[in-house]
Amino acid sequence: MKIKRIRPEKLEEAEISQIAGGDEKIIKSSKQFKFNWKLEKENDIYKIYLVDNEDTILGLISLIDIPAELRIHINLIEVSFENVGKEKKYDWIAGCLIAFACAMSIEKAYGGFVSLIPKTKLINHYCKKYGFKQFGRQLAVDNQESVDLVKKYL
Amino acid sequence: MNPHNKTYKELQKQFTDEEIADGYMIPATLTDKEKEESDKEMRRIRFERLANQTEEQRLLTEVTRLRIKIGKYLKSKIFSQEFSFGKMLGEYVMILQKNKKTFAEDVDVHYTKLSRLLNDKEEPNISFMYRLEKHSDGIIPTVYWWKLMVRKQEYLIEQDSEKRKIEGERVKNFLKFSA
Repeated sequence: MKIKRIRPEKLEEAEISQIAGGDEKIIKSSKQFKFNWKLEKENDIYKIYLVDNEDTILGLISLIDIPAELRIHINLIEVSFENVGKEKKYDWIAGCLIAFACAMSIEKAYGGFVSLIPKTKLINHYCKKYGFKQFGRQLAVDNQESVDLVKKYL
Repeated sequence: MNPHNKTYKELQKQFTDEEIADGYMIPATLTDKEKEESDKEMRRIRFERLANQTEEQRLLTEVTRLRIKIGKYLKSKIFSQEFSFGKMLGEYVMILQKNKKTFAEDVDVHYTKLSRLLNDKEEPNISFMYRLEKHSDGIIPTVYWWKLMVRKQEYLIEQDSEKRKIEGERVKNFLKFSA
């Protein structure tokens, strides 16, 4: 998968893998991550990093596999602080993480179904940018929208 | 109380809502009762969508699953006969639930040629790979099929010491550097 460097504009190869023991310390001590990721330890946490710089974590995603409902639930996403806002160095980090969840759902034969329950104020953004549909409090993608995210970001 | 709320409030002091949404997915604060109701509703929706899944949607996600499978293999750098061009093509045809004759007509190759490709008795040409890309509506790109074939060829080149020796004996005036 590729993420977009803003200045100079170019695509760089990135990878996603499950966090390992050493990563927890890095995440905790890093000023790049503001959320308490220890609270997500019951879930599956994945990190995204550049292939050329594996030591720098660019983003994290907390996933819950719900096999009984054939769905993957995104519980938390955090892009490294320096890549949020107007001054960010890289774009597409969150997109790659969401597409990764879609790919996991497709691989597990869940039809690409991925759900999340974001803060109300942020709902429109996820619908507009990633094609999520609103079902009551929850948002979800599946089938075509999920495949589109995989094709775009992975 | 959502344990992530404090951090969310701090972020709101520095970023707009759109910037926050672009960099984070922060879970909503729900009471136990709201969460229970929300989960119940999602379960209902999930099974409703499953029940209404069309054949086209099944095909779409299954072909994408194959794309992901091939992509992961290509990333691994190893060669496995289980991921040969013929095996992956066979899996594609199986997902389509079409017989070989119909598929051969779809991609404009003779049935015998298709059988040879499926059994790895013949290497595909690029034209055929372009047709496969078109057939999958671009979900499995030509380059994926190409890399599957090249992966096997790389492996065969590395292993074929006999052919290397035979061909080497036909070379004259070759460069020879002292160690």
